[in-house]
Amino acid sequence: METVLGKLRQSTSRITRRASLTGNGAPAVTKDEIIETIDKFIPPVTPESDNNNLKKAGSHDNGSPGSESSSASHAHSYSSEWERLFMRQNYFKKLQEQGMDGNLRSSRFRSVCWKLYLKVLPEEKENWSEHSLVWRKKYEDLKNKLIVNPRKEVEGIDLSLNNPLSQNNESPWNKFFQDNELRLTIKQDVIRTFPELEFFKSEVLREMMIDILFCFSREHYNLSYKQGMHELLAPLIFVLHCDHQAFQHACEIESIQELIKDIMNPSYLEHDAYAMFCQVLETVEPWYMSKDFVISQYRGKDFINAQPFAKCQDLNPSNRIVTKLTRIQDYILKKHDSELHLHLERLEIAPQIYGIRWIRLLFGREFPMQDLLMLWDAIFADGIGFDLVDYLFVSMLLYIRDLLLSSDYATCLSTLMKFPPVPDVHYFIVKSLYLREPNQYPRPPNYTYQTVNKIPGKTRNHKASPNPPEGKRGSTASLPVLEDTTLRQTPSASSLARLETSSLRSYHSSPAGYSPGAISENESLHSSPTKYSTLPNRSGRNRGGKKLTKMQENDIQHHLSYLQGRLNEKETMSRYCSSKLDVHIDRLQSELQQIDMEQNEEIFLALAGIKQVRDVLNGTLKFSQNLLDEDEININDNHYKDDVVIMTPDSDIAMTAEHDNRRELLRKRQKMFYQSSEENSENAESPESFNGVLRPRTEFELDDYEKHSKLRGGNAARGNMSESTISESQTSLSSGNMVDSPNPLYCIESWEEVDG
Amino acid sequence: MLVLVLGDLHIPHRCNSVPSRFKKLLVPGKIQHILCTGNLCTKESFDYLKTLASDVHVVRGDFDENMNYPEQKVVTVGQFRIGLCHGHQVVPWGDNESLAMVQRQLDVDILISGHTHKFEAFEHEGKFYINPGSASGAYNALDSNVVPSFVILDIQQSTVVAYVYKLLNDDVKVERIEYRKC
Repeated sequence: METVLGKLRQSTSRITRRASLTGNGAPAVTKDEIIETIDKFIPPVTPESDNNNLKKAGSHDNGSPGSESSSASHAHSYSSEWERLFMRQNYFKKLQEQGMDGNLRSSRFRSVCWKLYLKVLPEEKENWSEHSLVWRKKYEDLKNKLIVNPRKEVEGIDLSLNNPLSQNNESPWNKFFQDNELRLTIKQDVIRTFPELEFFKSEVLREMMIDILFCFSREHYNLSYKQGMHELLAPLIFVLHCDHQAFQHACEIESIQELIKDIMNPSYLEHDAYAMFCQVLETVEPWYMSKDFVISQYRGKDFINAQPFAKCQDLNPSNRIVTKLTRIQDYILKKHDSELHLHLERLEIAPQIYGIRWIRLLFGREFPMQDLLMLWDAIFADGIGFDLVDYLFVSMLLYIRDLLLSSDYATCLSTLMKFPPVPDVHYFIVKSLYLREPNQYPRPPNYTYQTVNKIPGKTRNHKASPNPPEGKRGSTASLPVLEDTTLRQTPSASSLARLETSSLRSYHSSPAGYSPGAISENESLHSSPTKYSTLPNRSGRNRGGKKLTKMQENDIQHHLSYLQGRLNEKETMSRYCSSKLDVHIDRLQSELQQIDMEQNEEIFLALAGIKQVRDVLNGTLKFSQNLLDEDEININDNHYKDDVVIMTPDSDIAMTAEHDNRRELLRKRQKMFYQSSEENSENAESPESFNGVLRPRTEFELDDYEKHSKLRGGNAARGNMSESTISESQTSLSSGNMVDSPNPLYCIESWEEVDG
Repeated sequence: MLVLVLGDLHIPHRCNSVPSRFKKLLVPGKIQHILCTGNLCTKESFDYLKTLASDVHVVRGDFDENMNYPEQKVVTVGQFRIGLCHGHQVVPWGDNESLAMVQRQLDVDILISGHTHKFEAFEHEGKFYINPGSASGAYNALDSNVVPSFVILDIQQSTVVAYVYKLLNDDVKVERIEYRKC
């Protein structure tokens, strides 16, 4: 949905641009009508007014204003963009939508849009000039008042006050020195703003930034200057500067109306930046407050702030920012991804460590400038309360969740401090909108950051998973459905590296067959990410595009050994279980044999089943299931009629059987054919389905049977049988077919009757 | 740019220390340069000056224990060439014409000298002469009643404003003199 609508909007803007080019004098109503009709239909409709067909406009993407303005026939493109953005009905709402969609990326009026979002300019266009004037004058006055030169002849101030060494608060010199100190503090931060951009290295610009920040901190005494404000100011200046460049360029080409000239006047860059900065800071201010005075209160009382098991971030909950971060982590993140939340909590990574920087700078240091501007478009467009920030935070965490889940404390921290590069920032916007209102927005696909260090083949429970998305890839079904099904079937596809702390089902599902299966599974799952990468997505991001490198081999080795260790663990566990079972089985058996009950058949059947389980755990009975040979087994004649002694799959049981009660045991074993271990039980019910259905889970193998058959000298039928399917086939036949079963082994039943 | 001009402390021989009122005024961080006319006399005083500013220039007075200070010095601050000399070499002590000779020798716009323990600041033949007096109020060979004083020069482009701080009756009095370079 998102993709389609996004494409639609792009095409809409294309069309409107074309339309605006043609209909420069056309009434705005027509354009609106066209746009609205377009919005209703899914396939983009060529507007009727595109009569002149100015196709020489070249590429109509949003990212090519230059081509338009350079061409002589588009001399009015600057003004027309203005028209399009601001002169329509309901323009503000459309602007907000555009901001959320990231369409302002190449707009030449981004600064005006931001002013509108931040309420520097009111919605009514008539008042724009007035408001601008007010703001600009305000700043001018402030500057004059605050940036004081004490050397100016100030009559009336006593010399004892107005001397350089005076430490009196009234003395202009004293103020001068204090101002200087503040300026020095600010300067230290300013010279480190965006060091990667040349733009911020000019002295003039730095002076301007220092002035703005200084004025602000003098104006807001309680907040003063805090580190980080410079990073908030910098992109504002950048945007204004870019717009002014465009404006000046456009002035050379075309005639601009007065209003535009007024708003975009480059000489007021400082003033406008100050205005926007003030507005931003108004919302952001509580995040910068640090209430140090609260601590002193406690010192008076004998207050021991010791709570057992308290998280480090809870111990001093006096700051707004800390509360905010705690809320983000403990409420929003927990709600959407409890696993990650648990992981972070276990590692004791307080959100303040990385979160304060993220929040205070509005992610200024996490993304390159262009991406950041797009993010800020969305944050500002969303509303003056900057509510989207919380959800953006969480969506960023979700993006790197795989990295975090598979890392220890140090790696986690380093990842969080140095956020990995993101190909498309718009994804975060979409995701955070979804997180905030899951009912209102379509669920975006779960992209996560995959590095070369990650082994996609760690999960086992989705061996069959490549199939469904593959099948649906070609469908033109609606995208949310597709994405939902994909997501449902591959819940862990987005987190292909899970630790043992996560669900253990991935390990339980395939207890055996690791070694032979490991490499092939690795390969199959290596390919699966690339399959996912071909899923249609709006941004065209290639999620699984990161291929294996040499490092991956080392990691495979590492993982193999790790898995081997796990396997050994499991084996030990199984053996322990089987020994325990053995004990209990003996006890039960002895008891049951004492008691001569009517329905002891069932009981012994059950006991036999338990014995089989024990043998499975013990490892004497191996599980490997080769289902293809199923049919072969069923065709065999009853060669086993005479072969009475040990025809059981559990030859081991035969070997170790108690000889005092062999008959009973044999009976048990026969019954066992019908009610074997749990894994087979479902198949016992439905032999047909068993034959046909591909069972992905366990494989059953009878090593011992084969050994035994070789000992016996090879019955012809046995020779036909492959070792892998015998027990399966034997046990698969339903209990209903006892006598009629084609399986020769079942003839033993008659033997039982013979014996009585 | 602020320059502190002082001298003739004679600590610890004739005086204990700079008056506390002055000490309160002289805080580090405000002053960029210090020009000292000499007769500190000991290293402790010099260290104290060093704490106020990093750039300290001292010329040798007749009672200085450090023999290595120069007799005369010229320092350029902003647009001004400032000459520094203790003044015991100039005979008669404090005589305008003799000081003018030194000024011509050094070719400076402002000449700072001491030794008389008496504050002077005047313009003579287009050049500025400053005598900061004694910052500690130490007695002179010819005069026992010495008013502690020192001078702060505020140098801005081609204007110098001299603020004179005197300790009169336990009270700091400030005077302001302006000099423009022609």
